[in-house]
Amino acid sequence: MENIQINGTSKTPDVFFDAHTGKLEISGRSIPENSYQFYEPLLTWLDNYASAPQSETLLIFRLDYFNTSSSMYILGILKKLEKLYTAGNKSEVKWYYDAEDEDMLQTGEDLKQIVKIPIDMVQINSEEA
Amino acid sequence: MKYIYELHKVMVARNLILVYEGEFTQEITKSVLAMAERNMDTMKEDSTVKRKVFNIMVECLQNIVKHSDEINSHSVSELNNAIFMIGKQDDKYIVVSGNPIANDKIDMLRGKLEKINSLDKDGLKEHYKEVIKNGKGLSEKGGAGLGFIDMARKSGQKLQFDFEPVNEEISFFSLKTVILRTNTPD
Amino acid sequence: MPLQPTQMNSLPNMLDIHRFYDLMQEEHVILSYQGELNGELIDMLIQMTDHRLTFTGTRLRTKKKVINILVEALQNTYHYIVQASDTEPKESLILKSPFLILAEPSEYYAIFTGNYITNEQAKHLQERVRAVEGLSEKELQEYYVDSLNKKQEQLPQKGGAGLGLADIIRRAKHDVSFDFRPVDDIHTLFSLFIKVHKNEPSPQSVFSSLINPA
Repeated sequence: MENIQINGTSKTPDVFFDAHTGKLEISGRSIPENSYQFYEPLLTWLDNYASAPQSETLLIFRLDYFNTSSSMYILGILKKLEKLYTAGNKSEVKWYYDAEDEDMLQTGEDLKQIVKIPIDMVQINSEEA
Repeated sequence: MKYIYELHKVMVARNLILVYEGEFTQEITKSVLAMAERNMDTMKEDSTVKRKVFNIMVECLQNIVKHSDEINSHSVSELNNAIFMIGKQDDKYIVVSGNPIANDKIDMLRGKLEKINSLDKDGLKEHYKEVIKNGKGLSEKGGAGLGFIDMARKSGQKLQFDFEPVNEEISFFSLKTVILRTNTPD
Repeated sequence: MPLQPTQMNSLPNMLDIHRFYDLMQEEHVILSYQGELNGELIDMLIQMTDHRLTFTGTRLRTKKKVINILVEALQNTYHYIVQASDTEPKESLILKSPFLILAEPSEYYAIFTGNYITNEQAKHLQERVRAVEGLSEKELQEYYVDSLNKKQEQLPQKGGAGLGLADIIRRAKHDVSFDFRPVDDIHTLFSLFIKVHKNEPSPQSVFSSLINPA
């Protein structure tokens, strides 16, 4: 199975979905006015991945900005992983948020309420870095 | 924020597309230019007009930066902030800059601008060559000789300007250039 | 001071530039844009704001809120753009362009956006506003979570999540006002006025109680 590697733009995030290690990472900005085009291939990829997943899957969100249009698809991705998880595959989600970014933390908490997969909230401190 | 609606009305009444107030860093300058250009693209503006407007904006923004460098060397405050705007009517674009300048620069600037406004198309061409030959436009700090001449040539209209005293050291220098959208002379 | 109507008839003359600058200063306006909006132009407005806020050393918390709110507000505008009719004179189209004014008085950033929509769209939008305007923090969260969840049944190929307004209210901590002004028989000016306060407690103190209830 092919990996997905997409370089970020001012509107769309960096994506690296590694089919061989099971590490799936989305980082940067996700603020396109129409998110379908960007996220649809990722969802399709996840469907394929789910047919032969690695023994452990780690999904990482490390976003600086995202809009409500992307949030639908971010949840969509989480739902795919939830399926994997409830089917008994070891899966984990890390949701990074900056110490200054209460809204990113809040969204992580919101998503946590919706999906039945453990989401680990990881604080980072970019201003001190 | 009492008058924000009023301000909006003024902007609508004057068809001001873009206004920016503050320090003109390289990044901001780039963004301002890119936005104005993209706006004209979206409105399918004629390419000759677009090029003129763009070039005049570049000169105008470089002027702002040049003057603020001078001011910064001997005073500090938000008085250093400059303003840039671009407006559009059916028949023309206007490019306006406003920025503080040192009072002791006024006479020199006024002299240059008046000289430019006294010249016709051919006169401007000669003047341009002269300034280049003497190397004045390049060496003289804050001279802005070539920039103004270039703006006048591209615009084909007189440059409008004004100095409004702010305090003993500084005045507010406004400069307005008009670019006609019809029968543009070249 | 508001300019007199007689001064508003034409592009600024030289005297007025200074007066206009004073008005901008008085209202602490940083940036204003009025004109066509598309994905690219929105992107540029965002980048310009980002540069400005970074350059002036705006606290990260505030900057993130301002940028995120701008994205939602402008994209919301974009989804409601009035299609130009062929019969309308050109000038009136410029007058009916969406706009953004960004201001920075000392205590907060003010984001003022507006766009012209049809009266029909206004009715629909007014309902959307009514649905979220009076909600508490908790209710907004429920609304947000429910809406996101519902969308999962059929992820839309076009348009947003319909969550922009709720998102803005949450991020701005309810300091948002909505305004619908009839312009003529067909159009309404819909505007949003949002404040992002600069001095708020850090997220730790606000959320630690929510995350780890004592």
